[in-house]
Amino acid sequence: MSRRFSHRHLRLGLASALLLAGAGVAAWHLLSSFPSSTQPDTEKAPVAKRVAGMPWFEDVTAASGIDFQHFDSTTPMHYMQETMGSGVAWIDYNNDGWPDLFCVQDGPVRPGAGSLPTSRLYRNNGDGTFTDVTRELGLERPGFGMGCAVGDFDNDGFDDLVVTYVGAIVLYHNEPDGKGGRRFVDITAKAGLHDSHWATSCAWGDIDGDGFLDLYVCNYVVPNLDHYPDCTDKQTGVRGHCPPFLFANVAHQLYRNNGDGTFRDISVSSGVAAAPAAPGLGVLMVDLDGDGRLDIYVANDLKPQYLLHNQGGGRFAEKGLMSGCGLAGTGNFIAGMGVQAGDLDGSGWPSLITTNFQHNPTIFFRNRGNLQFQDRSFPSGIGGPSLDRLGFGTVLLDADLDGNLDIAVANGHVDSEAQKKFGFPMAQEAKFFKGDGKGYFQDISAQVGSYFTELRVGRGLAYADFDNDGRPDLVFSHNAGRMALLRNDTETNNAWLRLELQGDGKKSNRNAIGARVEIEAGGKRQVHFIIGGGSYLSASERRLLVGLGAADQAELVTVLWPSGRKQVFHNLAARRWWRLHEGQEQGETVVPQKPRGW
Amino acid sequence: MTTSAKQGTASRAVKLRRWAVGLSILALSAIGGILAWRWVQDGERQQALRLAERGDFTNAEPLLKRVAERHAKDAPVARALALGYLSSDRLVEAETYFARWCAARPADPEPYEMRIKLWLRRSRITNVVDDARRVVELQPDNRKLRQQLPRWLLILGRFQEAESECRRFLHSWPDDPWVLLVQALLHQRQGRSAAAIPIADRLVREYPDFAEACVLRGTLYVEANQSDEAIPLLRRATAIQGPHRREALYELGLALEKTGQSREAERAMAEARLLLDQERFRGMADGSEGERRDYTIIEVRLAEGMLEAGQTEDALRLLRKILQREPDCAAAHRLLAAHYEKEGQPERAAEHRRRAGPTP
Repeated sequence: MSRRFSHRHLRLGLASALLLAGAGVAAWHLLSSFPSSTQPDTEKAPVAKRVAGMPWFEDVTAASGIDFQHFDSTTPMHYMQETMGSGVAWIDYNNDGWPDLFCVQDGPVRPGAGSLPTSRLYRNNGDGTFTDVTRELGLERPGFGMGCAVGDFDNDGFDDLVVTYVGAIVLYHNEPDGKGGRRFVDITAKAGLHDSHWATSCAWGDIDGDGFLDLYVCNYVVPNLDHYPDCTDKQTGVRGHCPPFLFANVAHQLYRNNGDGTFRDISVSSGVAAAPAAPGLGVLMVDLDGDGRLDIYVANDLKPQYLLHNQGGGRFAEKGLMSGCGLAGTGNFIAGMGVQAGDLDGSGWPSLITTNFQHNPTIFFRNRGNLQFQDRSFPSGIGGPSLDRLGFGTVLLDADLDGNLDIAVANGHVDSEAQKKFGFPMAQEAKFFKGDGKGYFQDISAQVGSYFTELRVGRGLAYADFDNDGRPDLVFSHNAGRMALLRNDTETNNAWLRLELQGDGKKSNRNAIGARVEIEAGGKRQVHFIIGGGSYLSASERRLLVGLGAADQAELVTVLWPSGRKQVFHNLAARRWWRLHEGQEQGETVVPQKPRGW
Repeated sequence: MTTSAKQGTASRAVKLRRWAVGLSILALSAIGGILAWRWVQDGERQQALRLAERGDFTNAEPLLKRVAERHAKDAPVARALALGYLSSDRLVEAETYFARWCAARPADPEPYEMRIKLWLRRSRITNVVDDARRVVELQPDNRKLRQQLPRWLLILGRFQEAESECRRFLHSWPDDPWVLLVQALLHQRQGRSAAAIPIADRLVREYPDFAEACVLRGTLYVEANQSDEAIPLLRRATAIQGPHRREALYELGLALEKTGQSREAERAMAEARLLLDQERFRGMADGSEGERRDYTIIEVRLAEGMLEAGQTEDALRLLRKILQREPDCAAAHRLLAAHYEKEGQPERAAEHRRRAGPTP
């Protein structure tokens, strides 16, 4: 029996083994026939750590109460408008010394019925929080908002606001509400302002020296929504964003302030319209050659950048190409988005920064004087690290108060299918370059706070010391995303000086746009400019926040006012807010009013 | 044990035996079936590879894809698909199979070297560098790639790596003009003009028709405010055809402007802009910037550039072509109106202005 059983067991065992082998072969075969799945690489953003003395920004958006969400206008058509984002502006509308925040809103490209989103104004409560005051101030207005500029166009002592739209510009006059507060009143039609094109960035500046701010408005392209080109990528079969050169361009607009609350379109008579029409996205006004007249520099998208040289008498000549700042140093187009000007190399001249498309460097045009510029993007250290980003807004600020200007840049691709088509993400990290004051910069983005390691679709960017602690803070706008308010928490003992310039409102505009300020402190000389416009669709505060390093005062502050008057102020103590009035010998120290509820 | 019990045991044994035999037959049949199936499939694979080898990718593709679905790690099949898609300009699909080919043959330089062509077509220079590094690691004597690597790193702005690759290459081949040029460019890009100048001088002296070297030396002269010295070199570079011409014309324009030759400067700048537009148009036409159905606006832009660059006949020919195709093209009429106005032919200008309609 035991033999029989052992035979039986043997046979059973053999059969089972064969069965198992067969099943194994079949299973192996079936499994190996499935396509092998690939695990996507997930890259975690490195965690930044605060280092004493190094710039550090803390994202305080949630705690601040700023809940602005940019409208997502995405459609399957991939209209250009959907991807351009909107700007952001700091404006102290009630003159309480606490910069308030205006967030521009877009909307559906083809608006239908129903409620539409609107731009928002947040009042700074002075305690780190903000309150939405849009409705009570009369700023609710639907439309496809793009950019904004802040300026006191009627020299009444309160900043006014201009907002650009796809198909419109709107001028809001800041006036008393009759109850002790302020309100904004749309005076566009009364002021004679009109732009039916796709207006983008705009800038205030007194171009003719009459003491009143004039207005430059960039126009982008002329898309026809009913016959929109199909920009389907041949490789991926995915419809995407069309490049700007597929659309017609129109001239930009320059409005002269008549000084009586009205404006006159002088685009043609000024020579601005004679410049080859180009898709403008960024604009600033600054005296680039020291002749005492405000020049205009415009970032155009894949067309030569404009340098509109002020000839006097309200006339401009376009000299971008011949000045060496129209194309990149290789003779290539710049996809100009955002723009800034400042003395970045200690020369005393305002050099230019223009953000650019992916695979192209952010451009640093060094001002060599005599209206000659040299592309120093790569030697400066900015070019290399910016190649893998698509830059938009940009600001110059001295984040660590060491007396040297640093650069912040908002980044984000324009094509929602960028990853599929080009291998780049649409959401990208912002950049921060620390300057040495001699024209060289170091990319320290990974070390200045977690925001700079996060993927966002950055667009607008503006700075202001919103908490008046003597350190410049930042605000970023994002396409179809939330606003980000970054508080500068840099641990530093470096001193600072806040300078608020007030022109006489007669020969100089009250905002002192166009002034040149030279500061000598602790053996170091710095030159700053009050510029009109700058960045992308956005407006920073005009108060200068000057880093003094270890110096405890500025021995000399020399102001060259827009009127041409030169004034010297002596021994301005550090860590104070100084208000300098044109024509008054002494500066006035200002202590911001305590917020309500303190 | 009783007889009935014995019979019961025997019948269970018989049943078990039958089961065992049945199962064995089944298992053997399964194995046989699978082997036969695999044999058939192998035939399909061989046929697919043969077709691909003969260049008949259209017929090979479905067979190859079927095989690839079953065997993701089949390197020859992944290779055939990657190269087939690459040569058919189906770059997204090619990328998938290059990834499989590379994964299946990590120690073989061929897939990485071939994939560089794909990345170059897709302008993904970071990937180009990664694969070039891999090939050079596997094939240290690959001169062609080692020569190109510094230039790609330069494009990416990774200057330190580029310099180290240049040094490594020049150690083996010290007189290579292309790598010397990249070394000089690296010095220039990092603000070390003094180090760039002797290299550029040597290249211009030893290779007078090396247009890129002429452009670099000319640019260095312009940067040093020595435009008079720059002009002949830049003129020499513009006389040679090639992709360097746009930069040469731009630098020539700047140099001419600085020496007071404004009209000539404007002409050079206009030609540089025209080349930019042409490069862009070519980019669109070959699909690298996506498939566009409407080239008209670009063609009008090109005509505008030609007029600015003084290539009037070419511009008018292009505009006539556009209007033959689209008689109501407002942009073309506007451009013609402006042109005839400038030429002092007001009647023709007025006619085109009328046909253009109102200005946007």
